[in-house]
Amino acid sequence: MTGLLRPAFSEGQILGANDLNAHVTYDRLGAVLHERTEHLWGIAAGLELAATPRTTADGQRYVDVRLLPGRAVDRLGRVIVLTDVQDVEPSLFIDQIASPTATDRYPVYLQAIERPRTGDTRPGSCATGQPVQIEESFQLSFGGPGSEISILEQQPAPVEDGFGVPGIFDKVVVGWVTWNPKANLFASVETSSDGRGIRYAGVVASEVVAQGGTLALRTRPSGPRYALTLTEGPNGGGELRFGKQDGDNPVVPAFRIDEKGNVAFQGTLSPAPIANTLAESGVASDGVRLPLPAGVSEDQVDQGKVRIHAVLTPVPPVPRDIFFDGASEAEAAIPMVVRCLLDGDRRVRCRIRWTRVADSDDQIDLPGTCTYVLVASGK
Amino acid sequence: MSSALYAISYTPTSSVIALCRLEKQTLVDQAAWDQLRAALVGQRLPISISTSAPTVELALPAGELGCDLVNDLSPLDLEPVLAEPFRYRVVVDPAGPTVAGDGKPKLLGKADVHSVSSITLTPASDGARAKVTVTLRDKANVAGARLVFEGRAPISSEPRPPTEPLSDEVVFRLPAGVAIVEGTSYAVMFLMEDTATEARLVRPSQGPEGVRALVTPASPVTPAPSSPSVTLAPPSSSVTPALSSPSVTPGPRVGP
Repeated sequence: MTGLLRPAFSEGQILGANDLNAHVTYDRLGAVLHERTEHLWGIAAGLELAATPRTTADGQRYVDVRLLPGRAVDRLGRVIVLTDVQDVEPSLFIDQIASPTATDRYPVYLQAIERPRTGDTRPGSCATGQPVQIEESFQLSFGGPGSEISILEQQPAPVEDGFGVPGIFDKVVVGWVTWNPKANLFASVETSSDGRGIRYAGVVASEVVAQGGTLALRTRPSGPRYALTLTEGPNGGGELRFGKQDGDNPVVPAFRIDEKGNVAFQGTLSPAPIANTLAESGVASDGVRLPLPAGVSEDQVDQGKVRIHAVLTPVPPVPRDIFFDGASEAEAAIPMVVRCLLDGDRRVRCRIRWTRVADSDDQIDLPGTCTYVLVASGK
Repeated sequence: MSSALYAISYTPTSSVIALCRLEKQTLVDQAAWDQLRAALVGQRLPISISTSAPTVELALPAGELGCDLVNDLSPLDLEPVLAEPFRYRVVVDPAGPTVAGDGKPKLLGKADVHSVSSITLTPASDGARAKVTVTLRDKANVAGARLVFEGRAPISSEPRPPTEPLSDEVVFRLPAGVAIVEGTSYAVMFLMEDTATEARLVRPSQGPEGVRALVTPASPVTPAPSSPSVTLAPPSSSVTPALSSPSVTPGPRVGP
């Protein structure tokens, strides 16, 4: 077991090819290990399949497919760079896919390959067949429907594999195409198939730190997109915000939470939170303080942590005989509720006004009784 | 858990002052009962007695109130209790000696052995403090009777001579600091064992001490100088209901 070997040169040393190659190898290994350990493999930029609609002479619609420039990293950490637009030839598809259907989606793969290039003959030197450059090239290929599953699920090669041994599965999916069997041409390009999408490059990080007080996650590099931003505000404030963003315009928040934990949102909570409520019910006569439901303390009410909701309903008195002012005998009277409420001390105030049947001007107010429902809800 | 009926009573007389049905409590000691009483009453229990605005309230201190679990009542039995709780008293448990507020289940009984005939307020005169005289329809042992005068704590009656324990008249001397203003109504509440609680508004009599004063309602009355007093309802009349206005014989109303 050994660590990475970094070439070291000394004054007067005669450098051989191995010495120089060792230096290149050292840098390459560092780069692929960085890609495999600090990033998630996939398309880093571009590499989109572009379709140009066409129609054959006999009226068959099809598309010309091109692969746009971009950069990707495969599971071995190899970088695939496409600097020019690449035509995707139907003939290649026909060679690789037997009996294509019109309904299936066929994955399009991009695979890194190395192409050795030999050097030119120069004056004073012998002609040589040895390569002097390695082109880090690529090749396009197609797969059967569903073959992309095993490709997309690949894990990056472990560190101990070094450069690793490239295999036939070390590919990057750049999209899908559909086929027009009648025209023997491509029918369309797609970016997903059966819920599976293109795998894009990611970041492996246990901590992400912003330099300027704003940290953002955006669903696209530009244009209409969604963003999740974490922003410091003035005077020690802060805000987490999620919403739509058009270009560099401010994020229109659908959800916000400030530094105090206050939450604001546009939609609805689903499922709705279950309110923490406790209730007490019964009967109470005038003057009685209603007890709080079990589990609720006066302190919680005083501190505003619990809200009290009360419903009082007078116990309906029935007409009966009442002694009115100046009367020696009780006389028939009709009751009417004049007050039934809970005062600030949570005390029942229930009063019944009795009106003499024989003289409606003769009235007397007496204490009453009510039923009650007391509900305590947490804030 | 099921609900239960609790009675709040004035412990010296066992008179029911208020009722409350709530979730049945599991109370293991006197401290727990006191805590329940404090929750239901607070520092004091206000009693509204007015017949017209403004409302006048008497208050009973929590320390003289008891809270008792009342044995279950059928809906039919409960209805009259809820309608007129002041006509009831807590009854000691036949199984053993109990007092109001001792935490033992109680029965409710009607407080109708005795009844009040009249209540008069006599201002201070000739060095004697103002007094309230409660006249009963029959003689009774009035030793435990109490009177609540508005703004004051309950007071006991003047002691009776040992040789005459029974009386149909109960006299309460008001504290020296109580100033009675003629023409003003005062709220009083009379509590006595086996007697419906009576709360009334009374005006002081204008005659010398010993002259029966008029029991007046809250509404103003027309002075009638020629008739300084009015005879109250005769003893044979019906029992005055709790917390109702006093009953008086028809005739001219007088004031101070």
